[in-house]
Amino acid sequence: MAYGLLSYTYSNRDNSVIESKIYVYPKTAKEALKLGIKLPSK
Amino acid sequence: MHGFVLQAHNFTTSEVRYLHKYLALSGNEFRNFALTGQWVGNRMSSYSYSHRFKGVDGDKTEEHNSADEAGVLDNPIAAAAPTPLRVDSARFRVGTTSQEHLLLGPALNVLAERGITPPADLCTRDVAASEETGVPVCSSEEAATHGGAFIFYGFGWDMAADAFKVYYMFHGLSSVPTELLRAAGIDVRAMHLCCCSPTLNLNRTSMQPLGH
Repeated sequence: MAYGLLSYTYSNRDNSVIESKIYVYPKTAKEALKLGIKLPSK
Repeated sequence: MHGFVLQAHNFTTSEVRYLHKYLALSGNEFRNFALTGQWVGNRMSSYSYSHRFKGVDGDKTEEHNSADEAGVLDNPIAAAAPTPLRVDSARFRVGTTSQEHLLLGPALNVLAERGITPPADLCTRDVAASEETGVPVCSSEEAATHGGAFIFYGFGWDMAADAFKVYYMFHGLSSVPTELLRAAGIDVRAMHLCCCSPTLNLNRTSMQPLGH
């Protein structure tokens, strides 16, 4: 199961959105295996 | 002896209340993270902060988070700690991986004060928090932890950039609007085959996240 977070950055001056990002995990096969995700063999 | 310099920022009343609430909950947060396993989001940290040391060894930046201090991750910088003369603390992020229902009310007050509208799909895993805030309960515990919902994760302050950050956690790509996935270059069909994904930047800028 992928999981992650949404990140929004706002200016302190006017609260306008400066930047938005999405982070998705796991980032590596090793992390995926630790989560119990079955990876294809090939 | 360290000389701490917190860069000037005028926190609003709601922000101060949020920070007080976070600090009041931090003991349980750390306990949940380090001992009970009640966190949500596989070892995502509930806080991070960075320091720039200005000392005899020149400038050096350190990043800290709860994973470091719980001994979950290696922290080679701490192992070889220099003797700093001055510390500039310009960025920090505080939130929760296990108590979103308790921080949600203060967090919504901060957002309202700033005129920021949370995502339409924001939900809470706690009925009492829902009744207090009006945020709907996630459709089920399964949905809250395994797809279909955004839950509040935390706020960050970057004094150097004069910026404010808001984080929402999700579980399962079905939570993320398709347009965001496309903008991030995520091929959903490929995700079924390969669950590995890099950290993705919607705007393709070089700004790095705090603690992640």
